[in-house]
Amino acid sequence: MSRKNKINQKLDPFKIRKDFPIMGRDIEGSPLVYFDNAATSQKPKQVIDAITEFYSKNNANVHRGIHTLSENATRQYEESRTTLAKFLGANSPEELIFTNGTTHSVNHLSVGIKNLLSEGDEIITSNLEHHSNFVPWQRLCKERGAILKTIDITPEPNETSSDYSKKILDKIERFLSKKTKLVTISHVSNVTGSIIPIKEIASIVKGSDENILLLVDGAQSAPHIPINMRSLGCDFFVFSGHKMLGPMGIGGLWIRKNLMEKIEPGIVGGGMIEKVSLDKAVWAGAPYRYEAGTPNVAGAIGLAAAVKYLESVGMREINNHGRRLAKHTIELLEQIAGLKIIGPKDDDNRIGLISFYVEGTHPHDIAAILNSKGIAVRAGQHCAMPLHTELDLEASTRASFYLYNTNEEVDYFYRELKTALKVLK
Amino acid sequence: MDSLYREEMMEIYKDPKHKKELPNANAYSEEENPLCGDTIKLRLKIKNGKIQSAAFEGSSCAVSTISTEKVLGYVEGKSIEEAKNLTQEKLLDLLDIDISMSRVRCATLVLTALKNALESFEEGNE
Repeated sequence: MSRKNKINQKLDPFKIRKDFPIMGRDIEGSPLVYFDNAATSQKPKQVIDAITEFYSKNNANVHRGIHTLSENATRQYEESRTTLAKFLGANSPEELIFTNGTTHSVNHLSVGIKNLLSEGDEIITSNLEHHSNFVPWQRLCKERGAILKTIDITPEPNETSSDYSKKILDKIERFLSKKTKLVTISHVSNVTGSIIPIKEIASIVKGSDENILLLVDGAQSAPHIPINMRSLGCDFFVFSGHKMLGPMGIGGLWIRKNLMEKIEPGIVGGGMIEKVSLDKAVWAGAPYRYEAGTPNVAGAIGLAAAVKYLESVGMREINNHGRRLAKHTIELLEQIAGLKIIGPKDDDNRIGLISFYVEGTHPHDIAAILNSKGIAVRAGQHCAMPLHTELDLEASTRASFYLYNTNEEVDYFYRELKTALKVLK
Repeated sequence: MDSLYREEMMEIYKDPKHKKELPNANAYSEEENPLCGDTIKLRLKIKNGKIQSAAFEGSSCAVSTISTEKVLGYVEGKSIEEAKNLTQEKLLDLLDIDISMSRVRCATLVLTALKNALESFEEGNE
């Protein structure tokens, strides 16, 4: 099949569902409708099988033994790194560090760049960040006497995605100063589903001073849109495997190659050193200097299987499918009086993720009633408390889709949501 | 549908009798559940070691509201000591609805508010 045909081929969620064993189960007597993909995705049998096979046939520690199993495990682990690096469009596999996930990656970096931050220096972030890309920087700034500048990019009601993007760029430009050392921002908001214009942010940031570091939180983008480190323009990219069909406990930290020597390892110990004497240690080369301790080998292998699965479907098509589902959902939700959707509603620059609230109802109640009909949605603040505070909301309900979700599921969700609102209002 | 959302419970939720102001209250506590954003402002009128009346304000989900309603109904007329002895287990019995593990915190928010209000009242009277 030619590349062009593959892109044009429409994704068939019904065919995809057959690869996901969990799709066969019931919840409280109704078939599972899984709309909590922004929290974690389900796993195809290809991923489950890859993990089972590793533990059944090849389990051993890596980079340690010279026995067959250790060599097999090492080879598979490094092949997984190469698969992930290619998926991300990295310059080389060495740029890709395996971590536990996004939170681990950000914490790793927040320790690793500590020495680059002096008193009075500034870090710029936004108020729509997930706590994982906010709290580590808050703590670091306190420790170093640095200043965390938070740009307010709360979406306005009825703002279009292009106006929203312009607002973000404008605010970042105004917040940059001679003291800025790092700009750190989400690639896709886990509350609005909006894609943040990273390439444009990179050109503004680097145009201001090429030494300002740019970190992109890809937890919600890597699962849904094509990613390329050679064109995105950032210095660091962090993501979680479990949101992109991979297992829990594995994720990545991509560091631009020319920065690798400047960034200290955030965690130290075994497996990351060249040599150790009683009074000092010399770090190993990248990426191993950033991977202290026994790595999650099975996780890496599972994640590589997940990435191969995503590539076989095509990231462009996965995003298009998510946008189609979001469009359909928004059209339906807009018919409900008193329901408000958070963030831009057009289907440009977004993934299949919608958060909403209904005056006079609590999201926990909506989620509990939907659950009694087999529908899994997220209710709460989605680890984005500053944004909910700014919107003056206690919480919201979030429906987030993935490649196995269908229009029929959205229709069912809409019907059950209307029933739930009748009970509650 | 699980029993929480049955009609009689929804009646409590939609029209909680204790959700009101209590101008002559002498014990107060404000609690928040940061996970879901529920807040409760609890007010008690205590006289001669007994809770004469109780009221709350704030916004919360059905579990939290129904639980608050039942707890406040329970403590009215009880002594401070009796109210302090209301355990989580007893509260869940009192509630008599199926709640999932993740919502126990919604149900027990009022308990924290009650204990804190009583403690601050006692400290104020020492």
